Amino acid sequence: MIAFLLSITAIAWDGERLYVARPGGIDVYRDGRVVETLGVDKRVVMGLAVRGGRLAECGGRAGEKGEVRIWEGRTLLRSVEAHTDVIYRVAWSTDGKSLFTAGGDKRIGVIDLESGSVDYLEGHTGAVLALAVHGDLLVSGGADRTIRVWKGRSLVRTINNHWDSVHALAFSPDGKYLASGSGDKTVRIWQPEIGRLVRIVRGHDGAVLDLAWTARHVVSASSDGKVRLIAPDDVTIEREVEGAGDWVNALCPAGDRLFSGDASGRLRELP
Amino acid sequence: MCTRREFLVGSVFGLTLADALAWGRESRTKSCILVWLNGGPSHLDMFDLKPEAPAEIRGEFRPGKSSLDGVRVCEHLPRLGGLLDRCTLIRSVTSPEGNHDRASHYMLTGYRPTPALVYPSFSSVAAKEFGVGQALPNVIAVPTAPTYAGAGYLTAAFEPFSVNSDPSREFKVKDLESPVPENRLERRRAMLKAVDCFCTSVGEYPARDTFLEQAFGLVTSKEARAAFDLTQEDPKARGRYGPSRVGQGCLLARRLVEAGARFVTVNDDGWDTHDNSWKRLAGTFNQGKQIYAGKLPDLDLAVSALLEDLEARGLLESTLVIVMGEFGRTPKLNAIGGRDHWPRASSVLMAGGGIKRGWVVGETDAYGELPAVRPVGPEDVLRTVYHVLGIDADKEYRTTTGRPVKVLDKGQVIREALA
Amino acid sequence: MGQVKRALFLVLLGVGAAPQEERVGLDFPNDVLPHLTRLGCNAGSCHGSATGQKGFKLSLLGYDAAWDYAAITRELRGRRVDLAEPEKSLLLRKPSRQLPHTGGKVMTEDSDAYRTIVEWLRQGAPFRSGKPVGLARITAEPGKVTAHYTDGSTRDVTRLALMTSNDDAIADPDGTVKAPGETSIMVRYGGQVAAIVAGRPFGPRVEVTARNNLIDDFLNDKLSRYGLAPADACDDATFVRRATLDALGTIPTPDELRRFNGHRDRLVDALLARPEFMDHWSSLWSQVLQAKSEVYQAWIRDGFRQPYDRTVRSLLSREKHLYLTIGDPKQLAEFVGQSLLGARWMCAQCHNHPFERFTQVNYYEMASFFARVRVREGRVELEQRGELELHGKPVLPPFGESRDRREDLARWVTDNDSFARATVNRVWKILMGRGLVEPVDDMRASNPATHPELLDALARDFRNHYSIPQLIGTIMKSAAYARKCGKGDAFYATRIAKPLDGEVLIRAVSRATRGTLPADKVLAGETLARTLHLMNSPAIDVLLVPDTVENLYLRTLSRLPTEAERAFWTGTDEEYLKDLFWALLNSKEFGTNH
Repeated sequence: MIAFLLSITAIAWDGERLYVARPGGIDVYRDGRVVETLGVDKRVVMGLAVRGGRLAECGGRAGEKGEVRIWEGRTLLRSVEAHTDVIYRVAWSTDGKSLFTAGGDKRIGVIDLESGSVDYLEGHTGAVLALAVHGDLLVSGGADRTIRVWKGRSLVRTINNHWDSVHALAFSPDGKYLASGSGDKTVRIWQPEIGRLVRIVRGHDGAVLDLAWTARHVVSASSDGKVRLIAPDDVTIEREVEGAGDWVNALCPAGDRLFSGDASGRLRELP
Repeated sequence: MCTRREFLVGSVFGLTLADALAWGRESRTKSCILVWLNGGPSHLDMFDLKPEAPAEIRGEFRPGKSSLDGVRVCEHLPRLGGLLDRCTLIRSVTSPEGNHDRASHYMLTGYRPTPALVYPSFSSVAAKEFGVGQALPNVIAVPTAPTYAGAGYLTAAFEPFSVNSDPSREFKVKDLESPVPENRLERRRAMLKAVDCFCTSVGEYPARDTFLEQAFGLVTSKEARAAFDLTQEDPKARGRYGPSRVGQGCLLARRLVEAGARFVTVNDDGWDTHDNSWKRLAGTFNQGKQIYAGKLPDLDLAVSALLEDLEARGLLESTLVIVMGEFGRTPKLNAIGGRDHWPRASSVLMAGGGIKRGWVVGETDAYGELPAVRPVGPEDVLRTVYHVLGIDADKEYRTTTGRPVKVLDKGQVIREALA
Repeated sequence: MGQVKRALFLVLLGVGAAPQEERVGLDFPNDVLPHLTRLGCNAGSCHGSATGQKGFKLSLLGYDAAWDYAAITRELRGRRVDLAEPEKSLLLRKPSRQLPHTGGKVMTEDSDAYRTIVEWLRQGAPFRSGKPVGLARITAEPGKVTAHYTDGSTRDVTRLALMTSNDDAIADPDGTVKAPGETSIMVRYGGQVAAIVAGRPFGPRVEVTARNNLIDDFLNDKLSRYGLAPADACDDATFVRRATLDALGTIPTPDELRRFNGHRDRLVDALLARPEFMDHWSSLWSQVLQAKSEVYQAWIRDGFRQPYDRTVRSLLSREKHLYLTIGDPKQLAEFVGQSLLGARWMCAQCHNHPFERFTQVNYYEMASFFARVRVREGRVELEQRGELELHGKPVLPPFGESRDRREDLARWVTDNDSFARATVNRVWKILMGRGLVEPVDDMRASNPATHPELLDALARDFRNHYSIPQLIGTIMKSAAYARKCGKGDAFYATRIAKPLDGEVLIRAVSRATRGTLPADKVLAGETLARTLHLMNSPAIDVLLVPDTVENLYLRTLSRLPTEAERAFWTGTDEEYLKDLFWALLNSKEFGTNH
């Protein structure tokens, strides 16, 4: 029996089930109970992404290789090895035919789900830590402090404005704006195609590790242990939710609720 | 106990240039001229332009012609641009030190500064290794030595000799001539030796002995003193370098190297362009009593004249020329039309003895922020310089407390830069 | 969802869960971090550098356990540790070279460090585990290092402490002495430092009898233990010259030499009563207090006989001179540290001090005392509000309630132990050629004094009167001060000869020639330019006048020529004597304070 809770690295919601990734497996919650755990063979899971009835998880082994697995229910559909370092994030393409992966090896992987082949997008000069997809736009953020905007295989724009690693990206629901969260303790809001900065949100005491953009708020999770609900228009912090003091790694909106997970393994539903 | 006879026999005139050359070293590179751009030269406005970058990064200058493919030289450095095929340009120098003093220490000594010890600059190491062999001091700074270009723990004997006079105005190095005729100077020298010999209360004093030897060498050598006399240069040739301080400083450096000096630093101020960048670099900018009439055109004239002049006199093969500062400058322009300190990327230009002609080492990323290819540190640059000068960088010195310290404890020679 | 179901949901999710249970197992600060320090992982040349290495930054020498813990277990979603399969952690695989590691193979798989870290990871990589974490201090003696915690408990940490030798020509880090002499072994554990003295005598114990005051008691004790016989006392002429140079900043005249009746203590008192003493020492002290303006220098001179603590409190909280010289609060903080307390805080501007527990926050806190000072039209004014900011947050002074914060700071500075010690150390260095702590502005636990009890005793005495002139007198009257010159060392067996300062040299030449040598910046510092100037400058040449050999020696070297010298200098024509004068002025005996 494990006497301690393992850190939560990612959370995803498919409308019914809540998936919570920890080293050693992904707990699947339904109606408040863990109904199963996927992938108990000890592996590192860094990111989750849901589409239709499918769950993509990414991880691998730090310093060595990355791995992506796709589940349907409790069936493992597919497993792909890619990258030469752990994969931090995974995102589905809009048409569901590919997966994008953010690799610690500074590359973005494009996995064709039919053929299983992997292409790489190069450009970042540091680990790729964040991804966001909307329409035909793919946006990545990395340890090189840049945000890069891609269309197809081409780099359309490089935004170099943050003072520290970019850990998180989230599109607004209508896709017009992009929020980025960084180790420089700010959240910045952009018009991604033209690279214009429209807002800067200050007031975090730690790095911004994850972002979610709900109907009314940009929600940030920070290493200072707090989750903040930000009004995007006037960038005021409407609400700050104290955590237990540990790094909040993951956020996930689930219908009209919001879940957060921290590095001590605490999963919370935010009121 | 000293006798009279010892003094009459003991006087020595300065050694001749021939004696100096016979001193015995492996490398064919005998001298080094460092053009030190004090304040941190902006790499994005000199040799590493990024015309495709957004306006707030690329600045106001456009690239001009360059004789090296792939190198975008500033339009205000046209002559140097044309001479790049004789140089090696290292574009990917990187360091974490963003404070002037700390960065200067790192670039000039190859060591990050620590409170424990001040390390000797490579000019002072060269002074120690080259030894005292001839009339001119081995290491000279024009007009004064930059901070941390000193001897550190190697003691005062290896400090550079600062000429203490602006070569572009009424240049005169003081106290090079004795007020008394030669025979009396000789007697004075002998008397001084006697007085010191009789002294029992003060022990060995090597730094002073070195200075005395150097001083007598200078005073008794007309050629050495002539090297410091800029009026002896043909006015047209003098004009070729430009009337600026850096220009005349480079001219003086050429004369000194020609006369046998081993290491000359031309210390050029004014590169710390936090504000009014464009005026300071290419226009005219008044700051109180100082007028900066274009650092870039001045540098362009000065260094191009220096390289061509050295080559015409057959000295380029045996002289290493280095142009660098303590760091680069921020790619992103600040709010007052300038760039701030940026050590993460900077450029170093080298030419002459032992250096490959027409070569580029490394490149920076799209905005000139970080090296993207072949990053090198100051210790790598210095190790390369030591290699070219024939100095063993792994040699161990002892500090005044007896602690062993290597000339360089890190770094690798940048082999691609070698001829 | 119904209320009950919702509540259950929340409980199962762990909302409001208790913190991890206290276990007496392995923890990070006591068990893991010391290994990282011992193995050099957090050294300044590796991950402890200001920018870390390859994106992994640890606190320098482990002074910030909380930061290190987060960097290792939390950063980048915990990529560096694998709690499900501990031996697969990057934290182990890289330093053991199972994966490429630029830092090399730092630990083997069967090492204590490796096994401890594996076990710690198996226990869930906790920060704490029930063991005391608040480290108060460490004590070190040869062979044993003890950690003392704030709860009163102790722990033997000999195996875990990092030891380095300050001079490995004399002693190895484990304390084995290789050569005669003395050095300190620095012991580091948990961000604290202690020193062990390691040394070996040069010979059998010697009897040292020359003693004038308490200074000699301490110095002689060490000389005796180390088997070093000190040099004899210097002769009278040397003493008069030395004392005059040190007190007045110039050489004695032949008259003053003749009048000396052999009472050295009385000579010291007489010299210290002269106005030239005030001029010279206030000029020296102006450098310490960064006084460049004439008004500031005059103020220092006027107050030089006042108790120094009063002077400093005035300088910080009442006078304007300092604030007209330095405007920036951070530079003012650096001034307080360096010039008044012998501590270099400036490193902390960009990162935490590499050697001591003085963080960037402390640095800004010191600077915050000056946050509201403004200089307008030559007057110093205090703002009502306004603070310094660090990372976007205002920084407040760590103590004090006065309206003018500088008063609180001034009192704290002068009450501080370091104030007396730093002042004593500076005066000591000026007179004895070498500080009891070197460098004089870098006094810290990891840089101990050569004679700690002496420094403490002098500081204690200084605190009774704060009179710098009195301190100068005490030092100048010691037997150690009067010894003959020699190589000089940290034991003070011989006196250290030093070249004359630029200003002193100018005064000495002027006095010797009974003329005026114009000031020239080329004379500052020991350089080739100075040598050339002394040798060739017409300004000197014009001052040379012929005089008898005996007088020339008295005027320049402040002594009579010896028999051998008299026999040697036989010429009598003007030019000969002028040349002799020249030679004497250029000699090493003239140019040094010996």
